[in-house]
Amino acid sequence: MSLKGKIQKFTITRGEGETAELADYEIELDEGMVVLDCVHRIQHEQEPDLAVRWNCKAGKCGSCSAEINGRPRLMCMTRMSDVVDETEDGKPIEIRPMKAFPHVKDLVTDVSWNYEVAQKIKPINGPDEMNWEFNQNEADRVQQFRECIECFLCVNTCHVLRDHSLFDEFAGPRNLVRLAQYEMHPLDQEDRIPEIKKEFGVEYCNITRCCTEVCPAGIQITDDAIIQLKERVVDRYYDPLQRIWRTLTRQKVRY
Amino acid sequence: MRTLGEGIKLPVINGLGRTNRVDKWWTQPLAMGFALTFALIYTFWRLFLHDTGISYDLDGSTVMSPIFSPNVLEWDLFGLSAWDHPHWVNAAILVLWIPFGFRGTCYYMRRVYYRTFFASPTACWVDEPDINKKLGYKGEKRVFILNNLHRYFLYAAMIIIAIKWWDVTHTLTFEGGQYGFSIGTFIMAIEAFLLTMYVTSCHALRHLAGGALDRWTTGISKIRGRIFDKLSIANRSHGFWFWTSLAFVFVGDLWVLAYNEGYFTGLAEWNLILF
Repeated sequence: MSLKGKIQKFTITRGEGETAELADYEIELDEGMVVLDCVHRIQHEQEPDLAVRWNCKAGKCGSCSAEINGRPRLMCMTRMSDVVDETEDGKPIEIRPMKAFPHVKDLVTDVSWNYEVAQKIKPINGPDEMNWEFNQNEADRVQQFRECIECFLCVNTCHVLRDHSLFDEFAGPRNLVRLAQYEMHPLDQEDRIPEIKKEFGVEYCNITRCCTEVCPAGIQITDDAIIQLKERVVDRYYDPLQRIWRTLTRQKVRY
Repeated sequence: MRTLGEGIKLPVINGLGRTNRVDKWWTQPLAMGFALTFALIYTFWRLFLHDTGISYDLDGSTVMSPIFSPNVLEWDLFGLSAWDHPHWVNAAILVLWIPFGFRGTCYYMRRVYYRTFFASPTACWVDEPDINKKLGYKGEKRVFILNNLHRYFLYAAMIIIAIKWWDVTHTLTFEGGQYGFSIGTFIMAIEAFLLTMYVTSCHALRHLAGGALDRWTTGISKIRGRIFDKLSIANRSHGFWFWTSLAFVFVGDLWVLAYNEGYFTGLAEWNLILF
């Protein structure tokens, strides 16, 4: 069914923090629109001061994260045809900012916590000589993690942060992906396992996989990053046989 | 550092089942909760209340119920066959802690039970009950630290799988040294295959096989890298193998139970001797 000419209701968070409220809008749709186009149309035709963060409109910059009908998504990659289908007839499409982060205004939230955590992660420490060579399959494994566009939908989705606000104890899925990317780098010599367990709190993750469900870059956050880090923590702390083996072979590791 | 949790908060709704989602988010956890509860109740009934009819013989071939296979009480190992065991002890009670432990600490199962039984969270973007917040969330610490034993259950499960395949061979040998098969062969072989795939796609196995290494360039590590790649493919569908293998344990048990109760006897007694 063509969406051209359809009159669609929206309800969008307006205001700042505690005083924010939902406001109703109505616009005429065109064929092939995404949700961000609709927000721009409302901004253009009705509310010039509607705050929304966006940049590339191609799912690569990670700016336009929002909760559309209660599901965190990139506004630029969410087709109106899909959203209209899932919304009950006559009901408005609901657009809210990400719940887990401090609210700034309208659809804009402050995601700077993620960058502060990222700065605490030890960077890759490879050989001094810069002619680094490794196999394609070794590269592929960490390349997946570089697909991250830092939209922070995974962090917003994670119940450890969203419902329990454990921002001081847990690094969040995005930064665990970064830790996996560095830790599994074929030439990296740094050891981050004690930090991954203690400072970055990988054990707070209970593998409910919502971060993977929501990732617009299609990164297997749970299977390929977090579970692999958890298994490395098990190697170090919870596997008695490996401890005995390390003692016998005189391997020194940090705990 | 500034605590983000203390930042400006939006006026959001909180409490069990509160969400802005518009889809039927509760169907999957509900279905999975029912399936697991049924599996637990049925297993309890079979173990403690109705542990008869656990196998049937067909001209010398033996078809075992998956719940009671391997029947260690028939083994001479550790003097088990000679053991004058209490009447409530059966093969399943002695062995089932292995699959229970393996499934209970499985990375896929953890997703399912944290969602269905602990509402932590019930579904993505659905708020948790207030009691979860009052108790304070500790993740996989406290009692859940036992989940880290997954690899040890994996080692035990691999032994069980080998014995399961050995049990399949018991359905192939008939009286007089003849070889053939019956419907029971298929049921036990499918069950053994699904369990093999479930164990093969395990996250801990994938880690131990090659995931623990950063480099897969020389000698053994090259082989381990190849194994890691292959296991990763199976690992993607770990959930599928979890449910199908679990379901077939009960299909197999119901088949054996049904035969012993006198159902499907014609079909079950059909067999083909090959040589």
